[in-house]
Amino acid sequence: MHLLETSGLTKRFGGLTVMHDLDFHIDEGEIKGFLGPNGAGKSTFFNLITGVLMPTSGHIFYAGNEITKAKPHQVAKMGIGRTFQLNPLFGDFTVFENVTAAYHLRPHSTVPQVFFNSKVYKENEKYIAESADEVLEFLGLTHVRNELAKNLPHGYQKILGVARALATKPKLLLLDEPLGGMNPEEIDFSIKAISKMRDKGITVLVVEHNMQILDILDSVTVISFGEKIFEGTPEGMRQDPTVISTYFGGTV
Amino acid sequence: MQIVINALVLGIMYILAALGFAFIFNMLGTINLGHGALYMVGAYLCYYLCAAAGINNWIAMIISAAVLAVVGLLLERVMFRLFLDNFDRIVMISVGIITICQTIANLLTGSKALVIPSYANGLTTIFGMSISNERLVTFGVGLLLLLATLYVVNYTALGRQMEAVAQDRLGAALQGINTNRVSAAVCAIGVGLAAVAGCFMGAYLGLSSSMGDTMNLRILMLVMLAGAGSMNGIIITGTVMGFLDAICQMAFAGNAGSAVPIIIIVILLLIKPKGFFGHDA
Amino acid sequence: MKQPVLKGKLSLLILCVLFFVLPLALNSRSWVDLFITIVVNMVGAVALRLIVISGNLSFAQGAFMGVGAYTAGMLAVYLNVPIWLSIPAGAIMATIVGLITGWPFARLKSVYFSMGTMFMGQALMLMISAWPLAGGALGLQRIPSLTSALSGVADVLHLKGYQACYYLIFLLALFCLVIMYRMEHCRIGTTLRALAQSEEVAASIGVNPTFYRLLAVGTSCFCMGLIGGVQSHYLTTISYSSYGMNTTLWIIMYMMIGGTGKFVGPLYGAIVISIVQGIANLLTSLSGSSNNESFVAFAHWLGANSAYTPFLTAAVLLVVAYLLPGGLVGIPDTIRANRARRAEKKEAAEIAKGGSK
Repeated sequence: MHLLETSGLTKRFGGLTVMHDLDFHIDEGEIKGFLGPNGAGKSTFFNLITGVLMPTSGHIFYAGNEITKAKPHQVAKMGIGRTFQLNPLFGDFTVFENVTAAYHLRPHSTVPQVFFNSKVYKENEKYIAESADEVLEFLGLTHVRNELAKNLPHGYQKILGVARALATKPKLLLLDEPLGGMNPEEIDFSIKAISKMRDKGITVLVVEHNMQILDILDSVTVISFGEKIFEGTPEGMRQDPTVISTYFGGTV
Repeated sequence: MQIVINALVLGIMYILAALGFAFIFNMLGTINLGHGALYMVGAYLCYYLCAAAGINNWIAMIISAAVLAVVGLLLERVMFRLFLDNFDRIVMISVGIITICQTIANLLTGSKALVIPSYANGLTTIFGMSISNERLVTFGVGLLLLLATLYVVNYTALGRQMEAVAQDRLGAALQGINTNRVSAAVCAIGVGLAAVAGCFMGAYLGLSSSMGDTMNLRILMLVMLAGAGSMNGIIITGTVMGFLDAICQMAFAGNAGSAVPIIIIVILLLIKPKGFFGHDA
Repeated sequence: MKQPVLKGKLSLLILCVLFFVLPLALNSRSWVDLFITIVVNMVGAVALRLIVISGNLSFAQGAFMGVGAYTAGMLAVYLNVPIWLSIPAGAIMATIVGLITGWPFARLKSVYFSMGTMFMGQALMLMISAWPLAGGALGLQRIPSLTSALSGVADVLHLKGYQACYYLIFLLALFCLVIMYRMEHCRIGTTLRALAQSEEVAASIGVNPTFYRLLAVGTSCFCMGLIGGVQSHYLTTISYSSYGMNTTLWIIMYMMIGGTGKFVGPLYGAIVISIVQGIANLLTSLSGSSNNESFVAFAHWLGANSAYTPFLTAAVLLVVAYLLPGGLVGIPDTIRANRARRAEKKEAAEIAKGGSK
């Protein structure tokens, strides 16, 4: 059984088809790339999976359960974490608060537990504070822990987005252009961090333009104008004539 | 027949008053809470120009509309342009303006019953029915202004710019449209139209310090039922509202006359909170 | 890092003690009436702020209060329900009405929520005005009075009737304020604030936006209904016009003048503006028993001009809107920020000067 699987996924906006009959799957423990030129429908794909958009037709299965019609917060509850391409943040929160806010579900305290400051809640909060610091440490954000998120440089904001998604303790992590707008050191660091996520038992699906990411990918799906044109290993993709002609403009 | 005329007159006045509110809602994505208050100011200004200064009421109406249009310009300059992405500030300023307008109106009205002098006297007989000229004139002028506004929105450069700004403010600015000037023009037109509606309604139903609130409620219903971005929706809902109000005022006594239409619309809005004709309905 | 927390709590404690002791010390009905008004307005302003934290602005707070007041009043008038039941019933009814009002609009953009509540608030009061059982245009009359219900308690505690009423209202208000304070300062508050900053992100970490928005609306309405219910028994006559748009706008003014950034903001806003509004009444009634001529003259002058006080409030509101983004309690922060900006500018100017040399 695949961890995430889509079958016949189609999305139309009015007359415009942005995703056509897409069959896709990702297995547990994989780091998979979801690649394609600008406007190929990559962000739409993420929004479909996470319930931000509803597909026109087709089905999405996660760990054997159908999540086609699930709402974003329900999808998050099932263990799919995500980041955003334009990377919205809780700008008025500090970095630490941004991450702790993400422990909304795991561990979860019910509203009455929170309100009456129960023992469960206190223990959860203690665990959250420790665990959030671990996440910050893992992604190298400890030194900006108490800065307001909106005052961070762009690269840090991107990493903070990943930290927040990681803090939801996802089984599957969707990263939407995690390297976009980063400088070379930040890119190296982030790639290492992503590859380390595999050791933590997290399955990662990455949308990215930067080809440096290919080094750590286990497998790749390439789409163009909403249709799948390649499925296989990164090496295979580099040599695939269709991919070369659409993705690299036929020049490679 | 009388009901139909009343309904049409009310409807067209609601539409005129709501247009400015709808323009701002569609174009700037925010709301002008003070729109009803400005409608009331238009009526009061017209009354005092007639009663105190002895000016002919048609001229008074034009002056009132012009003054309120300038107020609309100023409002855009000191409120929407400065705080477009800060709804709290807009609310603060609007609430301040409403409070000032209401207090002035309360002080001026007191317990008196103020009515703007009639715009036309006598009756006209159409199809064997006698209809007061006042209603006919109100409806005629209202319709004319509505058609003029529709012409501006649909067939002029300003209208196209409005559409562009409504769809994508930044994109429109990049295309060389002076977005501030477009919003200023829209605010001026909208508030001016509300003032005209106030002048007519002030002659129809009289002045009171609560007339702004009453109209605000109608404006909200029109715009919410129509949904974001729909001009035709406002015309439809305005007409329906006019008929509902006219019929219910006839059929039910006292406050029930104004409550029944509202109950109907509460139910409609609970079912479809985004309205019926908007682009994302 | 720890000190500001303590400071905030200390000022709350001082406020609490003041509001407990002063009505006892100022042994006069007009003072106690003013205090009741302040306490009611405080709850109104804080309850509105709870919704504001979640990124929405409700324009129906006055109406929710009215629903509580009319429910409590009508239950007591028509069904002889005792006060101890009618007031909580008012609160529960207000919560239900608030949730029904909020539910369709809480899922949409905040502009729709503002418009929807504004419409529903006015619509609710219009419906009540048209309901013969609710007293119609005259308002609901002969509601069993709180003073007589509390007379036994008042005798035991050696309090005057109106003081006993005040302390009941005070206790209920304190109950509401404690609930809302706790809510804001635990994880629920964090979640609401997160929701206000980005609904998209909040949903991606598992927050159910509609649930949390409605939680805020429901709690806020509960408090409004509770305070409205007890107020109706205190006033014994209520009119729909006192729960209309005007009341809502005043509540918004208390909150915004005080400042929405901190819990204490609406409290101070309510205190300051309620006093500004009520001072003329207070002085007029105090001057009846005063021998000081200039004081009497001043009270009369103030009473004659009290119709102009809304201008003062509106002016304060406009000053806050343009110059003090944090409201009254945000003044220190505003000054600090301005100073920092000026220093930065100066530095930049000096660097530029140094560069040009």
